[in-house]
Amino acid sequence: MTKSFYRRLLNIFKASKGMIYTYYGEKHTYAECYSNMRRFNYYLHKKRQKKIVLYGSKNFPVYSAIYSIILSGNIWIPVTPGIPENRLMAMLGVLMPDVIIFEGELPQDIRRFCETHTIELLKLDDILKEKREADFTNPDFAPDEWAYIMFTSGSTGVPKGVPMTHENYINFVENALEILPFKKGEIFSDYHDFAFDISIFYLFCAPLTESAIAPIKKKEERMFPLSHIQNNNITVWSSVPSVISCIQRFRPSEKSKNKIKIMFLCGEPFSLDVLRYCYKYLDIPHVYNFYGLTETGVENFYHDCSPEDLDRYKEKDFVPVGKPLKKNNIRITEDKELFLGGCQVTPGYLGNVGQENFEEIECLRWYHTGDIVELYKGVYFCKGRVDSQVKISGHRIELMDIEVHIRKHEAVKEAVCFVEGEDDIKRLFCAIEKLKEKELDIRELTRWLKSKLPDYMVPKRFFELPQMPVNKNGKIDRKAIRHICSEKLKAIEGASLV
Amino acid sequence: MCTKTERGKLVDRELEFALKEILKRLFKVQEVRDSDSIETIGMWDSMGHMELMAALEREFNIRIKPEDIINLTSVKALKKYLEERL
Repeated sequence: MTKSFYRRLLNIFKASKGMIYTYYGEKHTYAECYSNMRRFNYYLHKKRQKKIVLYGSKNFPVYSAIYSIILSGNIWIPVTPGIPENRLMAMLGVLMPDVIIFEGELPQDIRRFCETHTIELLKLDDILKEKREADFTNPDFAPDEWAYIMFTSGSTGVPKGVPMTHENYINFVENALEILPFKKGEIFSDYHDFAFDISIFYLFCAPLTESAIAPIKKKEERMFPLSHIQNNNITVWSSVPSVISCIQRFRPSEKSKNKIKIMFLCGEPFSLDVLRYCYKYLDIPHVYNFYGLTETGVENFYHDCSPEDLDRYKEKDFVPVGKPLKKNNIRITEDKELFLGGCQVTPGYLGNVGQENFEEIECLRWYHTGDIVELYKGVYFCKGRVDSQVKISGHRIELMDIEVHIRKHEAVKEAVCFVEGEDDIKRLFCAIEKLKEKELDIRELTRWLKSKLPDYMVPKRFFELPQMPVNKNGKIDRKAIRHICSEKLKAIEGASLV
Repeated sequence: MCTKTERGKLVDRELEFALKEILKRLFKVQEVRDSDSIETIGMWDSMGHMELMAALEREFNIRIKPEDIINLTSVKALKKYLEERL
């Protein structure tokens, strides 16, 4: 499967006459992409299974570099510039990469780290300028060789690296190609960061259908994706549902023109309200809800939505995650926790942490997802977590990962995070107890935290409590804290004028 | 009777008050400073921003163009925009 998959991919890069990249007026062909890929391959073709960090934005050459890393049999690790330096440093510590290919400039500390650990540094522009090239040999990778590594939140404050084999993710991509009614020459939106593994969907489904990718580059474009959808004539949209709900918030009962035919939503609960909006105001013919985990090769379940769902599942208020993709085995424990088994279960975290969540039974690898599922009218619904992890904008986060960092602030004595919000919009909040002798400025704390953690991990609102409530055992009472904070919120709402 | 400039100032002050009340209510903060923006108020995120745009359209009976939406991300920019539009 691996060999034929890559052969197809490589042949398209070699022969397709179409566009692969479109960003407003800027357009690039498959031929240009392949020519860039060959230049990157000059540096990569003698390496095999080396960990290659790609520090880059969504400019065209970065895409060529991604394909080149994977098609040369090396391991791609995406890093988005702007990531807090200490977070990147922690990732590099776990990873110990062999090479960093970077666009623009690398932060000084990262450069120093690379020099100390003899990590090879390659500047993306230099590679392209030199014009030295190497051919790709026919990919003959073993299914269990690694293709890329993504990072997820870890409870100790250090992100966990999840390596992915060729077999792990290819099974998902092949499933997607079979299920979704793609035609040649689609325009795929590229909304999220590469480091969010929904990127695998468009990075591979686009070339395999000889289609183009239209990236979102700027923060402003991300804020109002409708302009991006309209200006780039997007036909295949992929994101977490809250992005659609964002458009809905602005013009809830007005039709918005667009050319989207296929909508691939995943990563968080997808409410019937958003589905209704997709049908009624966006006129999307094909809407899909996918569900999966990074640890189990991107996506594992899918549901092909229909307008009848609005009535059929109205008791649940949500779109089901549906049924498993091919070659995905499932087991559900007495506590309703979902275990996933089969070829998409990844080899386990880097650095030998968290292995207890993986197990092998009768030669089949299983992963304990921590997600609670329920069967209703023949389809599965996702009902939340068994542990303290939370899901925000598609990112699975350990609350402790955030709290560890907040406690490091000089004025903070204790920090407890929790998630509040309606169905579509979950927001991260935090209760703080400050050190008595210190002053605490929330705006300053937020700024400080943004330099330490990715934006989605920074609480949206802080509540200062004189003292954290504790339970009988002297442990911090998370439930009581939530209650106090939500009362505080209500008080503010009541006080303000309408 | 107010002179034109005085009247202008008065209207601006009312406008500022109304704007800040909307921001307070939506983003659940006790105080809004002139220097605040999408970067300094936590709940003013992309979702919050859309809610804010919808609220402004409703309360001031205006229609905001998509190209303006992406620029109205600070109290200063909002004040200037509303002063010009109203």
